[in-house]
Amino acid sequence: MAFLDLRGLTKRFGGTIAVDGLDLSVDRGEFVALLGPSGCGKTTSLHMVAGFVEPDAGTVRIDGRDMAPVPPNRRNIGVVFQSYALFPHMTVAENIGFGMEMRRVPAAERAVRIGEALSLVRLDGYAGRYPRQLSGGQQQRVALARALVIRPDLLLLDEPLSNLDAKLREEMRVEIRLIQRQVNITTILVTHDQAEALVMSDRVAVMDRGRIVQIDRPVQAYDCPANAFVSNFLGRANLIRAAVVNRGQGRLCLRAGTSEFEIDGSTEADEVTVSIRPERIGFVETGGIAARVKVSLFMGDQWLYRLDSDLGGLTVCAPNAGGARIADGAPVRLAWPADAARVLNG
Amino acid sequence: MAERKTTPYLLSAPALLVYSAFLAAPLIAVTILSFNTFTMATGIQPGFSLANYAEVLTDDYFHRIFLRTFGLALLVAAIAALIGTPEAYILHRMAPAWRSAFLLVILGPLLVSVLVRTLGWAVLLGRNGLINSALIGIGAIERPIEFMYTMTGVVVALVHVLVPFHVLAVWASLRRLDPAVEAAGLSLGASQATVLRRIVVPQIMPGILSGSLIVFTLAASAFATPSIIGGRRLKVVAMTAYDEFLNSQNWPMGAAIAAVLLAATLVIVLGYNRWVERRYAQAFQ
Repeated sequence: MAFLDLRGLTKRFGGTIAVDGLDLSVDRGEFVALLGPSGCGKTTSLHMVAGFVEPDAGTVRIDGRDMAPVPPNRRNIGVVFQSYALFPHMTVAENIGFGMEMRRVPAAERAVRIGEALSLVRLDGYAGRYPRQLSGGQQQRVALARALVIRPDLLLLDEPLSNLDAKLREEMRVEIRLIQRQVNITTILVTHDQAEALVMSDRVAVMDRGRIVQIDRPVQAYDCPANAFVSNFLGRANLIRAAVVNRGQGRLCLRAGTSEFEIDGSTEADEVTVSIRPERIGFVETGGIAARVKVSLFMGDQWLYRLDSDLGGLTVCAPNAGGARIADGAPVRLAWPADAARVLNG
Repeated sequence: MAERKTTPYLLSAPALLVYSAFLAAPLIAVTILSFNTFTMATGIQPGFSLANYAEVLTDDYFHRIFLRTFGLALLVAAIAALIGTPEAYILHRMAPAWRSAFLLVILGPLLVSVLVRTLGWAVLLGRNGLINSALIGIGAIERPIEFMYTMTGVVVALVHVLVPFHVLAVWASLRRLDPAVEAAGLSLGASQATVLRRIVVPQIMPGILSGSLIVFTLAASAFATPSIIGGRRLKVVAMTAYDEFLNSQNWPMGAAIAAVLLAATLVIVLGYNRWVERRYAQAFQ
């Protein structure tokens, strides 16, 4: 049985349903990201696991034990909050030691473990500082050390990086992931940042309106989105509505506007929505589908083209390989491999 | 750039003018008055004499009154803190709809004149007042408890009048509290009580201390409540100054008493502020 097991977790606030029958199983040592837009219920789900919010229905089990009668201060869960929630009137060492103090760990052992925790997050020598004397990234690390030092059964990260600037955020993603592997702790990350979810987690659970719509390994979730919502939320996607002209042997011939193209896949329907990632579409000299560049955006490492075509508006990403950019208004031809397109359900 | 420099002064000039006209000017007038002399025969004589101050500072009669006043203020501030701090925290934890309703309940009394509220307490606390009648009625006591003209009565009424100021001060500092720190405390294994004691209270301490300072100064200078509930037997400084002005017609003496009260309160307030700032400097800057 899974280490963390959520069954039918439901929470209503007034008339609105925040979490709607959520099921999730997480293995020991696994890192799962709950990804979704704000208001999709991901933070409420996390708070129900931590015990801050009582579910209206459903169960939370950790290592087979029902958590319903266990108050938050007895759950042995480490939580890192979006605001870090460090205690401003305590030093770094007092912050990190607080959880052990509550567990009546002897002072000598406490000091040793505080030192170890500070080394783990690379903050040796900061023990005597107050939180306000630290940068955002350092506060973040203290919050992580404070959550890990109690040797929790489960680590919950609630939008831990959203208050950091872009560069630091990328560093911390990797760092948190490495620390998580090092201490091998079961972790749930709540985030609205798809890149964060893809980089850090073993599995991504994409949430929409209180439900998990897809849960998969990051590569799987990105390449094979279950529906239009996932496809749009995880990265950029071109969604094309097309009629099925011909089908057979795992291959579909589709028509949109006056253009026809073939993709891998199968369907019973006569009309389908297909998703194609912008980076899978390439420019070709001949053949393919005619389009016209509406605007090109320079992103540093890549160009982002918005185009008009027979299939509707399309977005194409091309790596910045040093070549000249395609002028606005220029006619181009587009093509993609047959395995680049996914037929979406529903 | 010279224009830039004067702009702030010009902008604050209207307020400054009102402030000096209605606060500074009377204060200066009272201070000057306190150096004059007074006899029954000659009335107020202009001049510069420290006789009034000498009398206030050496006469045992005044010592008792000042001691009583500051003792009363200290007690009222302490009780208001004990009642007001939990009240503010409960308010803080309420659902928004309830919170606005109860905030109105707490602040409502401030809309009613102090005099009216104090007279209300006189009605409640009297020998045949509601409280005594009720206690006798249920057989809890046989003879009425003396509230009127006792320290107990004054303290009860003053606490009621002043507790909203404490609630407001604490509530303001609670609103600056990150709600996640309480959750963080819980998740680290602290009980709700420990979270309050170790995490919430230290962070709202500046609010508690400034609230009690407001209550203390207002209680020390209170006039209406002590004079109605306490009466002549339990004179406080404000009543003494009032009596000198209006009964003895000894304005210079009244002015000297007022000046000493102001000076003593200022010394206490500033000293307390310095202490609070030093005590909580590391964590709050």
